[in-house]
Amino acid sequence: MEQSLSGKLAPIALPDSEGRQIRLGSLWADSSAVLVFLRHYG
Amino acid sequence: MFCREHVAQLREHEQAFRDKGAGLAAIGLGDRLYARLFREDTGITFPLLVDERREAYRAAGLRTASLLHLLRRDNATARKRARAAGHHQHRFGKNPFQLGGSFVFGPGNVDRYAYISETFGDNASPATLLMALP
Repeated sequence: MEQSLSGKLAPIALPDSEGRQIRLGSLWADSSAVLVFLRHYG
Repeated sequence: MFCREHVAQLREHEQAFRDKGAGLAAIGLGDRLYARLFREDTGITFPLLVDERREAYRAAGLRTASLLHLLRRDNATARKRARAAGHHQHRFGKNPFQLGGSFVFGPGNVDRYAYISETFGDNASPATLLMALP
């Protein structure tokens, strides 16, 4: 069975602007989340 | 410029997302310093993540534009719209040709909505994102 996109992204951990590592899946583990990919910070 | 326009729209709707029990987070390229300056400039309070290696962008299947996109009529329209709303280009990011996207997930690993940007200035509207929330 094909993995959902959210399942594919969930294990990826990225730093926030303060350097804290955030696992993407934690954003939507318990509630819905809107995740927006910006083009760049310009 | 388009990033700032998009972030301003998201900020305006942040409370509406919260009212539906949803969190909001954004991912950008560049480094932490760049992200911190962007956060200070735009005043956003939701999480702003940094994907220096484009790991999440690749996993999400997001597209990359080319110079030809600059000639597209829809880009000219979007530039005009963003400028009229008072948004201006500040710094160019690490990869100015990277395109964005918007997703609604969860709770749990459930995909509810996906929007892959076709070109610069092409973003899902906050109203559409709100409608995709359970």
